[in-house]
Amino acid sequence: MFTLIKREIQDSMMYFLLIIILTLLFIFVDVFLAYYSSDTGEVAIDINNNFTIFVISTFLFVITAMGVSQMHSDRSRKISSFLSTLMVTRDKILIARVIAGILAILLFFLPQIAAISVVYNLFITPTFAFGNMFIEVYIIASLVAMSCYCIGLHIGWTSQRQIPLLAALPCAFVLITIMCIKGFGIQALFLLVLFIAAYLIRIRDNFITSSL
Amino acid sequence: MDDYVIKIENLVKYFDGRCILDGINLNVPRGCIYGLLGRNGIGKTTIIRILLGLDFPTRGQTFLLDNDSRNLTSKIRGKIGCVSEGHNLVQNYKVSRLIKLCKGLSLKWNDEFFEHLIEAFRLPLDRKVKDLSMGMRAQLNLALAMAIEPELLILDDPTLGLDTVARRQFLELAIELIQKEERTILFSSHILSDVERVADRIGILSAGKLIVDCTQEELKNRVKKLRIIFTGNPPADLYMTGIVNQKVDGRELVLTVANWNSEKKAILETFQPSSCTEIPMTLEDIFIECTKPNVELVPAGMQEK
Repeated sequence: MFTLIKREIQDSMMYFLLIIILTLLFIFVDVFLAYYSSDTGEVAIDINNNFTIFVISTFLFVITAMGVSQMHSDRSRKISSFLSTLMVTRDKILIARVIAGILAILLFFLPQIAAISVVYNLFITPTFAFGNMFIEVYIIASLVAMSCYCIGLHIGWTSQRQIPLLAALPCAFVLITIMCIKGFGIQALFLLVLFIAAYLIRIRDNFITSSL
Repeated sequence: MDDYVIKIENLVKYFDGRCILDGINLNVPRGCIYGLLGRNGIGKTTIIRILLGLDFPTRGQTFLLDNDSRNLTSKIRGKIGCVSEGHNLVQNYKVSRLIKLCKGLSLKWNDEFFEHLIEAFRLPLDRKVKDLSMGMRAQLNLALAMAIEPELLILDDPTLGLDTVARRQFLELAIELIQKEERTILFSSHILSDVERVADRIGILSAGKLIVDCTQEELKNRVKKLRIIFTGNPPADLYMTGIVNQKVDGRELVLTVANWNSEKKAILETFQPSSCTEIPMTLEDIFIECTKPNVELVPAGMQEK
């Protein structure tokens, strides 16, 4: 399994590098603005919020693209077809792929959480930094990223056909609507977990039953 | 308990409404080199893909090492080496990286044997797979399949793209491998002289059916090509079962018959031919006779009971 995960990471190295750059950029700007906001207050926080939205949106795009790329290159280069002739089952190939996706998501969020915890402790009141909202936002954001990744995997595997490709658009719309209506609460978390589970089952079904 | 490494039971496969495989039954015993023959697009690769679980049958079941092909575990897969048609290796990998990947995903890996093969084939490790010639890709694929010391080796047109020397090298390796232990090889190829050289058993696919499944020796004994000369014109009422092909040229009748036996010989003698000589047949000749397009002439009873 480790070999398969390593292979997935090496094959998606470009995306991992992009994610590292985004993470470093986010941490750098966050530290800078947090330091600056200790003097100027709301203006810096506004800039920070806009920047956060920009970075997270970019990350969601990157993680979706990574999912598409993993599945599409597998299909076009017949990678699973070759791997299946080795000591590997299709389930293992898919699990390794999803683990690589989860690692990419963690690579984006974990350093941020660590950096923000430190920075906000230093420059802003600790009650804000360690509030429940902060944790909830990051959990929900990670789940949204995972959902986008799953959509990417699905599109990548079925991109030869038009209907599944178009079906991914309403899914993304539903995802955004959930976030708008439910916010970052427990209900949104529940719905996202359901969404991810359903998508993963669908992806597995497609992957297992397809001719390689 | 039967000791069949490959079992195929009533395999049916449709592609876009077209029947490719129509009730194939096949058993390959342990330690056998089985040559699967058939014309292009007849379904040889489809059988191999279904066996490996890369494709699914419309009906029927296939088993590899006593496990259903649809649910082959990693451990079972680790005992099967495969050289696929077209050598679908990961094209954008360097040879060295591909070797590392295969080594990491293998149950057993014989470093010494693999190094020997790489040296014998003179494969460049620093080049990308896509930059290798077809022949080199075939050699790499073969070396990777051999290095895991497979219990079962499935070769789908493995010598395609190899030059004569490399082909001979490959065949010697296949024989060496089979002689080491009780290993089994399923070998599909268009180069019939290769199959003739190594295969113990032969299966011939034609029109979706396995029309021949017996040992090579038995096949050569069963299918006879006879040059029969009559005093007058050859009789129009010469009927017997298993006539694969017949050609009349003046007083001469060239007859290819399946399941040749003493009864058929007696039937022929009732027509009092002036001479009857046997024309020696290679596997290629038998294959060509059996896969001629007029399928109604293909002997149905040629499958071993």
